[in-house]
Amino acid sequence: MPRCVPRRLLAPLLAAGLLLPACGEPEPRLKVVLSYGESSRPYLPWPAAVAKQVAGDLEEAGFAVEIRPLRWAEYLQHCERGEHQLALLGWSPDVPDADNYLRTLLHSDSAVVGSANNISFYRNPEVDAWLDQSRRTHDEAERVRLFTRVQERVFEDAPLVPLVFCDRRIAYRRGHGPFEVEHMTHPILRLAEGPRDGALVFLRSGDTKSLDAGDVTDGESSMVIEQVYDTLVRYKPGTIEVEPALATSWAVSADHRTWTFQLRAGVTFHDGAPLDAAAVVATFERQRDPRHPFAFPDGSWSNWKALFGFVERVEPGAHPLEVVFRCKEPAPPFFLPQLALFTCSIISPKALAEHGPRIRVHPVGTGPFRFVAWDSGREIHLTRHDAWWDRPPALKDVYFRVADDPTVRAERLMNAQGADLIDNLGPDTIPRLEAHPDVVVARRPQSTLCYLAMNTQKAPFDDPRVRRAVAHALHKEGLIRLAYRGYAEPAVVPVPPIFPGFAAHIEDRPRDLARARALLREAGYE
Amino acid sequence: MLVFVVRRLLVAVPLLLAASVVVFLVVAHLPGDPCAEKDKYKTPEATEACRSSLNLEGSLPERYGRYLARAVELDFGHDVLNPQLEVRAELLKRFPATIELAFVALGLAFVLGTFLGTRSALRPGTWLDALGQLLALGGISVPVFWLGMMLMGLLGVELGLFPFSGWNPSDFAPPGYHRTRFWLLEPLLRGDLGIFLGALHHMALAALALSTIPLAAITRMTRSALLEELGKDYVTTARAKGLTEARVIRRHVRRNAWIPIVTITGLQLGALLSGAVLTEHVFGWDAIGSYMVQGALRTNHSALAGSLLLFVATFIVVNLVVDVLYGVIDPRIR
Repeated sequence: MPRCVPRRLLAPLLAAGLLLPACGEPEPRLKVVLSYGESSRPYLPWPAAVAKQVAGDLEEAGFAVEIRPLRWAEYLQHCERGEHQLALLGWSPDVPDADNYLRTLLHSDSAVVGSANNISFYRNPEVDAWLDQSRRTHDEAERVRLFTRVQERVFEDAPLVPLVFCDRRIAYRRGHGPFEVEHMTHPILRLAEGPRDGALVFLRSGDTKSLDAGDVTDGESSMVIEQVYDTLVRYKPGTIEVEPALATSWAVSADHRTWTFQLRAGVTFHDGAPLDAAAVVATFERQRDPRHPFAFPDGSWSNWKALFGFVERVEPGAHPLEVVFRCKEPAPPFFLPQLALFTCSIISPKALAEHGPRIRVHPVGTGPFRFVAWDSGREIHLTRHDAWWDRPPALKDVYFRVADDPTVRAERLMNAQGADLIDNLGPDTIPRLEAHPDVVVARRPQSTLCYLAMNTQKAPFDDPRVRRAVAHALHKEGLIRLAYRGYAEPAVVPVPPIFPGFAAHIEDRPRDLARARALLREAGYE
Repeated sequence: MLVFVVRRLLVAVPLLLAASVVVFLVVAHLPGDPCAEKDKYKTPEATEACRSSLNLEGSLPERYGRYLARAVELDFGHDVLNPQLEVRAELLKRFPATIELAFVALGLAFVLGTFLGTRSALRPGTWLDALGQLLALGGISVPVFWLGMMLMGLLGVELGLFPFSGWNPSDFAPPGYHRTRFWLLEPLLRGDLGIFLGALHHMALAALALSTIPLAAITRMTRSALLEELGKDYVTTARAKGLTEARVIRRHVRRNAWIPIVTITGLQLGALLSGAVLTEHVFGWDAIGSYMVQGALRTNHSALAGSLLLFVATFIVVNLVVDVLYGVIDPRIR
């Protein structure tokens, strides 16, 4: 009979309090709590599996981890208030710029207790200064230098450990599409070549919350909004570069504080109203000015507040097809891509006046598809806008329907039961979908980050050595294999490799339990 | 009769009030803040506005007061996820599907249950009796969500006989056909048999799964009621008169056995409501039960409270109707 048993084998029993610690290895000392939200997210398809894997890695380095699953809303609140020690969360970008990750997750401005996105509550004046400076300069090389510095410092301080970048996939039936996974938007339905004059059923995981383009942040709403509305500029399919859309050209003043846009002539909204400067001004001013007649009082306009705080006013230009953005400070270098975001969709002012807050269930834009009906919880019906200014879509009708379970979505697609296109594929359904003769799976390396946040305001994670010990303890390849079925890429820094400013030279900390233990000893935890 | 009904209705008022207190307290103490999930970038003002619009400010009695004042006007507030939607309108929209599911399941259970029960009672101890008992026992024991998934997997996915999850009126009816949201009843009344059968085909699996709950009770009640009647003297008399056995069963025994069978069937409607929550969720229906589940899972507290109250009210009404019917069938009850 061996006298000692490896501790990992006994871990479940130990945790259950059924056994005394095994001999030969020190008793785990540093007790920490790892919280996670129970709902599945694009970056956390199986949150419990990720939590278990992370906790297992940490246990081997000498932590004693208590896993605390919470309901999603409760969990968010728990993190925003800083009640957590370790927490699993993710971020998908709104703007293809390193700033969108680094500022949101690491700037002290986003570390406000109660409404934090920086849930590590990391506050570093130098990092703040570099990030602020990166917004003021338009010299691309200088910005890359600043982002590199931020990433180096953050890697050193380790307020969070980037775990993986999820690679997002969609699947559709042959004869439909082709559809691609876009970097910054949902699949672009107008690009489908087939079925010509036919219908597409997009089966997604949840119902839309609101179709008021100016005041939503969730994906189930934006995927519909993107089809109904146009923006001043839009992403070239498959890229993170912008191209003209409702604006045909633009000019910027030398101080970057005045942007002038020329609008496309002859464009009309689905309700017949003409697209002109007044429409564009109303679209933006209602988000900016709380006294604007179309700024419905229960709106939160959080995208505008988070992304467009520098805009002083949007006003009509010299002629009816000219719009001027006046800024309080030089507009950041990613101002144009920001205008491609769905919250910048140009809304018919006639419809806003007519429907008031009911614009949320009755959207009117200039986009390739126009809104027909929304049967809440069940279906949203769009149909082709034949008078669209660009090449009209081949599809005639689009139906968005809901099935919250990824296995059900996959089965319905494979069995042709009311599903032609699905998103948010469950990792375990991917191999079967890929093997199915009538199904095409499309992917593109994605920018959705999943990270482990450490609350730097609370012991023991107020000590950078403990945080580095955590980073040394994690085994990202194992995590990807077990909790993502291999459908993810390890992350080193919180900026995706496809974005300019990604610090490619930083090498990840190797998994090194001895080093992790040594760091913990150094920090006085033994 | 009228006095009886009025008295029962008056009792229902304090019952509903008590239920509203329970529902309010349960929902108020659910973990999680419905406003926490609102936006990607948080602003304190937006959270504040959300909290006041959802009646989350103030002490519990104050909040209950506001809640009750609006609830008596049948105003259950707005949907948390989409503030443009009124919970009342959402409930009305979804209720017909739940009613139809319950009635189809009940009808299925009634036909199958009385058939199996009668067979069992006429030939006690045979394999048919054993099969009936087994089905009845299975119906009580097997959880409807498990059975639902098995039916989906086997009859839906593997054999491809039925659509297995979620459905849309456009799957079986031309667009704009339905003027009401009674997907099954309306084509039946308008005489469009094809559409009716199409709708039934889409609802069949869920109804089948749900029907196992009342099936057990109905089968067993039919069997024991028939057995009890068969042992009575009047049956011997009827047989002695020289009536055929079929006539004895049809004209005499079954008529007397109907009362307990009808009663138990009516009472099962209540059980069907709770079963409908699980069934609708498993089968991806968009009706009251799934709205309630969504309310609980996604912190849609107003949806949850509204659908709970609707269930309580339905339960009270169903029991009232059964009581009245019982009185009609057997005047001795009053």
